[in-house]
Amino acid sequence: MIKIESLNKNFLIQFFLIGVIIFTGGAFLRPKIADIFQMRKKISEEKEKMAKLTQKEAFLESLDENELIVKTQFLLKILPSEKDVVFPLTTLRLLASQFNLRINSIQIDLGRDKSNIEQLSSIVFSLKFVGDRENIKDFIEKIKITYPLMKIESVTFSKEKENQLEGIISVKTFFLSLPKEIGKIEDPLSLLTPAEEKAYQKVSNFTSPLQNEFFPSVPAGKENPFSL
Amino acid sequence: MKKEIDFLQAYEKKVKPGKDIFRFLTKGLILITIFYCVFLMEVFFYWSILNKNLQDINNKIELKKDEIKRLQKRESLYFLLKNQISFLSKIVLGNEENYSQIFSSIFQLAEGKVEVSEIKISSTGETKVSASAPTAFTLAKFLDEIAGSKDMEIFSKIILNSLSKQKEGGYDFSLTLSYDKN
Repeated sequence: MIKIESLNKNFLIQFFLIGVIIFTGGAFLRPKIADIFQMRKKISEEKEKMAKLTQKEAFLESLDENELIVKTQFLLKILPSEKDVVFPLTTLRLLASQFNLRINSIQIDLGRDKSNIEQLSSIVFSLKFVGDRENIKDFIEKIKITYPLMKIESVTFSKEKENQLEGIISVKTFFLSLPKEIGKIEDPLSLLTPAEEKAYQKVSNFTSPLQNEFFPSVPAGKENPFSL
Repeated sequence: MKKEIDFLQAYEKKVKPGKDIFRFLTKGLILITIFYCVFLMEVFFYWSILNKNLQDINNKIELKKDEIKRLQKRESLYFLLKNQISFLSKIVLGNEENYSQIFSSIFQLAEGKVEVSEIKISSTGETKVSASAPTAFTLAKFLDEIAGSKDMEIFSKIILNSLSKQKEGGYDFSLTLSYDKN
């Protein structure tokens, strides 16, 4: 009877010790298990982030810096970042003189920013001119492929003399302010869409009647190390 | 005198029930504790592996970020390029009236028949023509040709807005040519 009691006592001590182990282990285990679930989730998130960064890095590595500089400089001529009256006005005057059109008056409307796009602003030029019908036709066609980007809003023609027409043409020029920030480092870069590529192809043929014309050229091949 | 041994008599173990149950429970508890400890170690081991993986990935991410920062000039240029092109595509790829074609076609159709005094082409493509015709016949011929001309096929509606007879015998008239962009 005494032996059973001592066994019972031993068992209780063991049971107590094991209980303490399980309890302290549980206290250690619970946060660790919660941590494991959190870490697994985080690892999958971080892996995704890593994949995006790798993709972005590879894309950036594939870009040619010189080509980008040339293209952006050219596009800034087509769609200038700062509102400028002189450049489009000079361009229009030069185009008119190229096609033997006599400009009678020019009206400039600076306050017609009806665009819904915050970054985009515009100036409207109204040109009154006199010229030959064929020359006017060529003038209109040339405006469409000249930079800075100009969009004809309306045209009015009235007969002045024999073969001479008086025209009033309303041309809108656009300005796009530079983006303020390029976004977060993790943000992926969106690729050019086919429509955007088509637009670039279209504008890459634009020229200017001004001196020192700027043609987009892409340097290719290795640089000559001996060139000065 | 023979002595008999009874082999069939079983050895009777003197069982003390309480002692055995305690032994069994003790062994079971020890076993459970061992498994529990192994489980704890595994959890801890797995946690440390995950922690190391996370650290490695974070280190790699930092390296990638540094690489991208090194290429920041390229990124800015590309971002600017993309921004410019996306706005350009909205302006350039929109429907634009073929002003030169409209006005030269009208003049061509009018030649020898009517005298065009004014053509107005708005941004919506609506074209207003003011002209005078020497006779009703030439006016009708002009209207007929303008309605049947291939160049004028873009217009879905041709409306004769006004027609007035001149004192000298000719006719002044105005037309509106319009179309539904959709």
